[in-house]
Amino acid sequence: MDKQDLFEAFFSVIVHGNGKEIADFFNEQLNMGKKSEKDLKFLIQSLQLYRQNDMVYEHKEIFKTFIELARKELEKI
Amino acid sequence: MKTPKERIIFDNLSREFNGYSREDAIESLEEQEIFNPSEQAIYDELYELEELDWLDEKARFEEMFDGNMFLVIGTCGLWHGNVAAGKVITSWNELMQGFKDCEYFKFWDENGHLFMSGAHHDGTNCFEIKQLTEKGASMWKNWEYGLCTRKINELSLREIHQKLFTTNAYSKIPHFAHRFYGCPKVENIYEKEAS
Repeated sequence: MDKQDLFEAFFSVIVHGNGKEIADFFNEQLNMGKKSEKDLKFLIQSLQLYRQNDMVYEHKEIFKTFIELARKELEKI
Repeated sequence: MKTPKERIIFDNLSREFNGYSREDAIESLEEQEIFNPSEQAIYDELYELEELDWLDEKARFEEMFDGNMFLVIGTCGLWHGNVAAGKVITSWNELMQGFKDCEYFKFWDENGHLFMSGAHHDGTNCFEIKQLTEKGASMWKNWEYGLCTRKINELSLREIHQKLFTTNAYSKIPHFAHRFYGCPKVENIYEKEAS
């Protein structure tokens, strides 16, 4: 999945998904314990950019939470 | 009773082709020495006229931004309703990132206040745009880096946006219609109240 695909997927789930769908999507993206350092760094960068671009306050909070989770995963490596 | 007059800057949201009619398209084609145009040629010309207006307004907005910092605050229409949204921007491209799914737009000025709406398949995004003053821009940058007073640093993104937006020392209305079209700064419509 390249950066653009990732953005499209985030956009779709954030805008159209309910709480569970958003959580499932994020967990799948994080794929706890299975992502490489490179994958997680790419994910964090993408999320930061998307958080910056999104205008909806609720969405920014979701991204913030997910960035923190991804950072914790990164620390474990 | 008075209500602010809507000075339309661009609108293909509540009117087709930014208000151009078939007759306008035919007249425009005749000026290009194209007579008895086909239906397709008329529609193509309507799209062309709308596109030219869009590009003109885009250029005006770019002139307005010109390195200045603006704050847009409003609501985004999502599948489950309208939700609060806001962003600090410095360019047309940044503004349009928040409207990337929108196909139809309306920009208008009410007594110097600048508004925009954009429609997409789930709903409509509606925003007001204000320019941050030097003091406001400085506060925004300091808040981002946690360099304000503790009380200000502890504000959420939404709260700092609200503070900047509602305090005259931190933001000002752009007066777009006055600046670019020479309209009066204040223009109201007066209606007689029902007795």
